[in-house]
Amino acid sequence: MTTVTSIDHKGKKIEFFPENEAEQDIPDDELHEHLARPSTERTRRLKARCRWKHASAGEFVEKGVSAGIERMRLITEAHKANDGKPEVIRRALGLKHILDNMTLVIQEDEFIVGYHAEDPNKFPLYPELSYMAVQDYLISDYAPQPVKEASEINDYWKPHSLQSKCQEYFDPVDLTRMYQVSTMEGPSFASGYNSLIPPYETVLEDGLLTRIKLAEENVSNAYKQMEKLPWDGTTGLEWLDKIDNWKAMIITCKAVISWARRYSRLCHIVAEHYETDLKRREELMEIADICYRVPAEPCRGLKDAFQAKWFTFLVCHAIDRYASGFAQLEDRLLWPYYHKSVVEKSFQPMEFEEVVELVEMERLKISEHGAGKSRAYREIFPGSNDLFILTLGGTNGDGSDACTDMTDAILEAARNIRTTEPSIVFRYSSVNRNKTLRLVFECIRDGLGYPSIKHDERGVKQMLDYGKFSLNGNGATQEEAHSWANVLCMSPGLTGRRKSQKTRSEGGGALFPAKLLEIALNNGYDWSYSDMQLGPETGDPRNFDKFEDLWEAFRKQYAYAISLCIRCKDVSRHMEGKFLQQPFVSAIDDGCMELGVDAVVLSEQPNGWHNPITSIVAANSLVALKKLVFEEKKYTMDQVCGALRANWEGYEEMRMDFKNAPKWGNDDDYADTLIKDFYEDILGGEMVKIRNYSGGPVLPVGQAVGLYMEVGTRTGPTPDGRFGGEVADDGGISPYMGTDKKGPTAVLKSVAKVQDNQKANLLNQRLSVSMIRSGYGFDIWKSYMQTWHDLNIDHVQFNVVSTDEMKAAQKEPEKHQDLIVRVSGYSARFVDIPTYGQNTIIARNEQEFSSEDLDFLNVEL
Amino acid sequence: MSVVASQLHREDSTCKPCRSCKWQIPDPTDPNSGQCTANRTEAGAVWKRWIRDVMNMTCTRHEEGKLSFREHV
Amino acid sequence: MTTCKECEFFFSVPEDADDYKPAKGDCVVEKQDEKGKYWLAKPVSEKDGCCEQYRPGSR
Repeated sequence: MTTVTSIDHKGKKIEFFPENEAEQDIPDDELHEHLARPSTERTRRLKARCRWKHASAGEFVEKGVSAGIERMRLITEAHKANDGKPEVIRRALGLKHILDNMTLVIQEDEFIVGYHAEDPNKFPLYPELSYMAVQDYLISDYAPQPVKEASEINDYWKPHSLQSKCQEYFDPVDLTRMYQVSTMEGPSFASGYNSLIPPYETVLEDGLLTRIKLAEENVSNAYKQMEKLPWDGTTGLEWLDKIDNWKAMIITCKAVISWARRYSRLCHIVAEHYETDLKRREELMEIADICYRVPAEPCRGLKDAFQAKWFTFLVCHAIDRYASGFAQLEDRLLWPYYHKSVVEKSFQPMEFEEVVELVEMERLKISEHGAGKSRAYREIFPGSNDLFILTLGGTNGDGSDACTDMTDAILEAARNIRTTEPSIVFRYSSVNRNKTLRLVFECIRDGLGYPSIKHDERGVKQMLDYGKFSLNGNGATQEEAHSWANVLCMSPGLTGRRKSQKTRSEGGGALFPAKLLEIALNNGYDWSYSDMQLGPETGDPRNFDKFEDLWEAFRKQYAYAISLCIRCKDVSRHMEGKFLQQPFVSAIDDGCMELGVDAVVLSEQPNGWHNPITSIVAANSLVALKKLVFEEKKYTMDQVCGALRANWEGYEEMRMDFKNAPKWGNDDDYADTLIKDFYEDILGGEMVKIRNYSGGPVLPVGQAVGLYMEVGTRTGPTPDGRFGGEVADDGGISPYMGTDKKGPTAVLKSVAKVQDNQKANLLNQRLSVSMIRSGYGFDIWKSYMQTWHDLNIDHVQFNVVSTDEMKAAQKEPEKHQDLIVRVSGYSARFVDIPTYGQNTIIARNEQEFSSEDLDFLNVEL
Repeated sequence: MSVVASQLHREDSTCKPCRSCKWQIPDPTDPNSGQCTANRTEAGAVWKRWIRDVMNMTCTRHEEGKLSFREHV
Repeated sequence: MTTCKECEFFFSVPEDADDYKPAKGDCVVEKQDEKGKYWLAKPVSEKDGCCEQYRPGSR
């Protein structure tokens, strides 16, 4: 690193030299290419040949990736063959038919086996979810072959699909508004997008044979209950659906065991007939043994646990139905097996280094996992294959530090192998041990963009608060509340043997305040993108006499949008409960098993949320309008409307006034007071009025993902001085790029002001490379984190990457394959992001810590 | 209302539909609709327009082809 | 007609397997592309007509 920053602090000059002296000779613009260090030759080879499936702007970045036809063919055969059977049984037989007949894939060098399509370059599609999503693939370069057959399959599913079943209950105009993703994200029933937290714990602890036994006993007991005298029809008939659900659970568990054992057999065959390397032959026989035992039986060691977890992931997220995410509290989930294998060495004995290799292999496995997601989601996480995010750290039920050596192995592997997936969330608590915090820091310092940090105590409290609304009085206990993990990028949800999120209808999906403000300034009409009425008529803004008129007009647009979004999610869930049951997920959930209720239907722990994205563009705009129009009266609303319609052309002086108005993130009370109200009174206040399927309130989770780019391109000019088509704000509560001019601690002070009616808010920060990589880096970061914690801020994530390196990568992308950046809620290889998005990351302020910042953080250098 | 040829407009069964234009990418949800990305500002922003019907709309900026992901958003 | 049973890539499903059926087998083929080697297995019946990957050499 040739650039060395220095500051004067407490009367002395502090120079920030790299902590690692060898880095002094590495040019700034290629640093990231020198940071990977796979822990073994095997993981080095696996990374070199990784079949990445990253998507950007709706396209796959890697050549040769395409949709497979096998899954859609098999689910269709089963659906036709089982017409007339109870729907949940039909769903179970559908999964069984897929698992019994799908092609198995094993690749050289891999230890964790299992794939979800007929070729490692393919991914499956889901016509039973959204026919439009499949239609889009059919006209793309990634169409399943033969296209004619795939098209016929999609035609078959059109009336049976979740999309068709839900669309019936909505005004087509509302759907047109949602499908274009400008004021609202499209409903999940139209995209097939979903997210859940599988209860991995039951699979690892019990094994599926035990789950089958439980279901069989429940069926047997149900028949006995029904036969009791005298017959009571008011309660007795409830057993019918329960019996079907338990039977469906049995069918799916048996099918999953059989599928895993097919993998066992394949390993044997490859070892005996194809593999020539003796050591690999032995390893294949070991994998065969593992796949025979798990997930049928309880896991006995760490290798078992990784494999059982992977099989469960594939079934729940990719084979039974598509669901984004890799949600789990991974260190806690694996710790008992780490203990058996590494500490006790009682089964699958190994050393810490071997655990690190296993984690690296799992990371590479998920990196080449292809998601058959709709175009919307191939656009809005540019540079990723999907939102694969796991959680670590935090506290145990008694409040003690939950970090273990398993936590450290996961972090060390992430730092070593440098893959964008899975992203990691770290639950920060004051009691977390220094050793683990140092590894968290090293991942961040090396520019991975993760772990993103969440406030542990806030998450625990939130689980308890939601639990109070449980419809069956069985919400999170104090102990369970400590077992939360992020469901996707930002929102905590319970993990464990029951009560986790099973479908997207609980949380996820977005609406876009910047665009909503734009239409509020046009009486609900969208002149800049769709040329149609996008919301209710809320009045001609030229007639707004006072700021409150504008405020309330926005509120009405927002209230319309959020109610429609949540209605879509609840209608979807209702239909999923009738036609898209998830009997395998039910089988591994203790609540579903006990009650005989399908996983989609049962809700024990409410966790409702929706994501306002682009909030700061809207908020800064309101601040500027209040100041310049309604208070100082420098401009009229008529002039504002005219200037915006002209995209500020001919109004440059006026635009600069609006651009220079107070902005969020500078600890400026004028801006922050209004913006606090905006978040708490409107964004949160309107959401919290809603009750969703689960009986709980809905709360906002501000998180931009790549939607800040997408929606930016669909949003006309705004009164914060932004031109039409320019990007929106890149966090959930982050300052707009380049407008946070008072340093990193001023950002924290602003953000800390918003507290009420929020579930989570994403804070994106870009920190000085030379400071963070210096010998002082860890101390500064630790003090920053403690201050952040004490200010009761929900979240923060970091980019530690230089502008020089990003610009060099734009010029010669082939030389910068290992340059990783944090986009928003996920990380991506910089070269896999469209130029438009790359520029938004370059434009973020690289925050340096001044002497005043260091004083505020109370850090000693 | 008169049609301005340089702007996106309806033209049933046009031989230059937005579907085949390099500036178009499909709608996020409904592939019968699309997004026009031809409007690119000097500062590098892409200001999109929604295309209601990609088979029956066009404009004079129509160019056959496909841009790489890097040039889209 | 040549059948799967006569193919080198056909492996009978053992009788003690969960998915055992008479005449059922696994068709296991080795593939290689620029990313490396991999193996695919799919269920077939020994009576199925052989495909373009057929290679004589029943087991």
